[in-house]
Amino acid sequence: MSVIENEMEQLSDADRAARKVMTLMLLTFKNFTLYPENHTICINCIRKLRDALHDFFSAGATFKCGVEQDRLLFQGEPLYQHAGETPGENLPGILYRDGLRWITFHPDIEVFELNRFFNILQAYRFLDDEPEGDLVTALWEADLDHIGYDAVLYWEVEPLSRFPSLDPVGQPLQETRELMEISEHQGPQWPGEGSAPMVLWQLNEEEIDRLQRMIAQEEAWDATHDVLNVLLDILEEQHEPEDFSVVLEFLEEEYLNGLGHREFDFSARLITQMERIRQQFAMDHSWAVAHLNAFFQKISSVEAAEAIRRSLIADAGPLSDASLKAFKELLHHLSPDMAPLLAPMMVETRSPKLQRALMEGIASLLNRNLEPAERLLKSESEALVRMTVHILGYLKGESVNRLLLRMTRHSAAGVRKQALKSLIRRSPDRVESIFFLIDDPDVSIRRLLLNHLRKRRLASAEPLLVDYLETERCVPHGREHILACFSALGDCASSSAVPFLRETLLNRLWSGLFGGNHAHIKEGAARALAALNLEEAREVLQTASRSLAPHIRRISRMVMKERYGR
Amino acid sequence: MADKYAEETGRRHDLAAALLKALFKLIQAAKIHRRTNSLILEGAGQFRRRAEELARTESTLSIRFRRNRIFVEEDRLSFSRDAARHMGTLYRYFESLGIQEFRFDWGPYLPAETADCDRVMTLVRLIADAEQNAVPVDQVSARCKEAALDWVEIVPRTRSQPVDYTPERKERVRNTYAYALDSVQEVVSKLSGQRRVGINKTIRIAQDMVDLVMSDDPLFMVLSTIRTHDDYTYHHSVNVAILAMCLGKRVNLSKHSLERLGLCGMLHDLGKVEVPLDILNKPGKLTRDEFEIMKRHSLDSARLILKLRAPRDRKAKLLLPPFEHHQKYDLSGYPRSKRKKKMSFFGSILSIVDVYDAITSPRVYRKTVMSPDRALGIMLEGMGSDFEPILLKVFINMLGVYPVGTLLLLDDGDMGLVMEKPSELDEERPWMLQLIPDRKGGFSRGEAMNLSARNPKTGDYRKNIVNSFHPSVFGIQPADYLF
Repeated sequence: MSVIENEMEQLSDADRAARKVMTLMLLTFKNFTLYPENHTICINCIRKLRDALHDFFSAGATFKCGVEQDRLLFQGEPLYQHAGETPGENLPGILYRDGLRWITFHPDIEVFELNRFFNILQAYRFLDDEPEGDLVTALWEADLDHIGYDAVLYWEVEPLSRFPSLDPVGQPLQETRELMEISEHQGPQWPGEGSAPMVLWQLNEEEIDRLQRMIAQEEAWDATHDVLNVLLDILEEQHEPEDFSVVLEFLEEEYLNGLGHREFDFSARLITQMERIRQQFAMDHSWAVAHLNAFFQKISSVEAAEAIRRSLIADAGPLSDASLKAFKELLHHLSPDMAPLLAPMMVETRSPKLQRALMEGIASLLNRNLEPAERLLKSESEALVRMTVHILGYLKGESVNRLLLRMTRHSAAGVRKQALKSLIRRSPDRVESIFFLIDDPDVSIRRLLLNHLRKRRLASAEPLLVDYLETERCVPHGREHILACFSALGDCASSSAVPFLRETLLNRLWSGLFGGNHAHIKEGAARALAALNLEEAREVLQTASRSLAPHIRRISRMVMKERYGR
Repeated sequence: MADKYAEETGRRHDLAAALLKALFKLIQAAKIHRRTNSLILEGAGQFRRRAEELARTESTLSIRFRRNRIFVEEDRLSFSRDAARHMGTLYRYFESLGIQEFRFDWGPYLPAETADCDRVMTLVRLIADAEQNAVPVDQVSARCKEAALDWVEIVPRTRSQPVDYTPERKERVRNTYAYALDSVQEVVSKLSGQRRVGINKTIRIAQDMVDLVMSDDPLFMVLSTIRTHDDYTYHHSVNVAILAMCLGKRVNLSKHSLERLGLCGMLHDLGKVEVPLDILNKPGKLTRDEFEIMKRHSLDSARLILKLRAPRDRKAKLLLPPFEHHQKYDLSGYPRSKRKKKMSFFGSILSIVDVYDAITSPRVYRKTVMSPDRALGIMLEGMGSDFEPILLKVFINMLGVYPVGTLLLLDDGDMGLVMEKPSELDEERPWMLQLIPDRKGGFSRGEAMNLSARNPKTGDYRKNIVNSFHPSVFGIQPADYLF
């Protein structure tokens, strides 16, 4: 094979490899328009393209692709001509539109670089009239090591054929000796000439070190806090509603961004400062108040709640103690309308600390306005309602009591129980309204109520219990419940209950319909009498211990032995 | 891509410097040793090895000596302070021989493996002959050809060196300025028309400017000398951006930070769009009320940045420096802020370059304009109170004692414009482009003069600076002559 033939063969190989690269580039571009980047099709496509490029590079060359309006070129020859009319599908057109004139792919290019490249193409397939960036700015920012490009500025500008002319400030100069004359009338120069001590403006080691630290700080600068100060300074100086709104709008965006990045201290500080500004403007600039109120609504919006949810729940990394503290502080500043938006997060979070913070925050919000609680209590989520009821338990006010009482009739036992707990804690002596729970189908609720009644003498509970027992409503729940009711009566009642207990133990014929419970009722009465710890109750028991009825005698003796040791 | 480019350029520079050192050592060794001496053989071997390494990426290499700097291809060779002394010796040696450039073509050199010592030594002998004035340097290249040294060309220096940037390079730099000016004007005009405006074009330009400043192009700095009576604010904004980016480059900021700094510079005076023109251009002193209005512009610049159509994050990062650019290091200045926190790094940079450009700019209402060197002298007085001291030092260091564009008067009556600040190789005096008055109030370009040149007999400078002026005093636009 001659040298020329060999070269032709090589050229042909390179051409074939280039065509393969181009085909895969177009295919990848198309697939990125159809599928997300992590889709298998896109992943495979990128890999194939990388492999094709590596095949091409094995000849040692860089793949340089010329860009024209509708064509992509390789070594000056068109490799692809776009025929369709849909702008978003015209790869050469998209590249050309933003001024790209060629693109190069260099050896050692990696998959992630290609991936980034095609993502950028996707992001800038279509441009607005006033775009917020373009393909070239994005490629510049991406700074991909193995993808190069050349771009021209695509908009028309009057060329700067001459620099602007400048009229002399002084007189036009005719001769250089005039300069000499001027110099004689001028003062001394600054220390620049001849023996100028360069040391004056040379940095010493310490300064170099400080400079490096300043640069490092700048490169890692987080604009958030500094920007807030500037924005507040600007806001306070605004006297035109439109300008005022522009600043407020940006503050809203900053606030939401702060929430999204767990910058809760920033968001809390922003609100605190805005509250101060609202007070300040309320006096002198009443027109601004409506704008400020709208701002406060916006910061307690669904959007804000979603930002919090994303940062706390979706990005479920652990929250530092400082952030948690800042978050709690922030919650206190929000509108009560945020409560229904935040409350679901109590259920969603797996962090007990965060859950507690949310509960405290929501309690603080509901304390200011209970109306959102009504909405929460209607939720279909039992857990959410239960937690809300728990929170309500710590709030003051008759309205809260009413809500809690309503919840004692909720269909879910967990909610009823939580409501009962809350009510007991809030008003331990007010048992009339909750006494009906003594018949609750859930045994733990009945037990909770009875345990509460047993804790001390409770005059209000006595007649309720006596009536409950006297009318035999306790009977259907069985022995354990019957005994518990009598025990409760014994613990909470006074001597007024003795006649009823005496009658029950000695005389009353508990035969009725539930004969099987006869002995339990007598036993309950005996135990209640013993618990009363009164002389007249003791006398009743002694009388009963001598009863002709063996079962009364046995029960009474057993109770007395347990109580008095004989 | 830029990192890769920088890496390759750095490697090439290192190899080129090593090649030059090897050649220099050979020349010195050849004066006292025979050809068979191990030092000579080792030196020749080193030269060859460097050439081989260089040839792996480029088949040719140009090393130029120009105005106290060494250039490898189009890029200026940079080196550490320690290396500067040694490279200075090299520079002065080749400069003293009148050599302006070595052009190597490794193609014909490398294959001749067996004869490389002879071939290099032939070159060494020719250069040594030039040192002894046995062969005029402008004939050395012809002698090389006669000696079959087809792999090297030695270009002698012409007596007067023109400013030798390629027309394409000048056009690119010039266009960048025009586009930057246009983009600032567009933003301002749309904002004053109460329209929302995107900054895509401004970002493109800022990125273009970063690419220029990263290439360490002195032409870019020349652009910042452009002054005008009309459209002052636009030119000032672009000049501030250029100076700020040059200062940022000087302290090695990343390219992304330089982009942001450039944008801050271009947008820092946006607020002036809301200052009435009669106040903006008022001859004489402003009244107290007028000054209060004027003082609002930095705060308004920040507010107007909020109105730009750009991502929130980008706008947030552009707000602070324009807001701060009239504040001072000691936290005085305006606007007054409730926060008592030191100025941001970029705010400190802007405050320095803003003042420098402002006081060295002729204005319709001001009869005097300060020469750049005097401006720096005055600013030096505000070090630590008005200006961040370290950054001010770096700024002065960057511009040099006589910044580019300063009009100098010499003791022999010559006058001219500073072309470039002195290099690391000779830190004392700059190069000057002579201006010759044409008796009609205009000037023509003369020759480029090295003001560091000394009389070999006395050791004194050949020319001394008597005074400096702002060129606009005489209607001189430095860029007209330096481009």
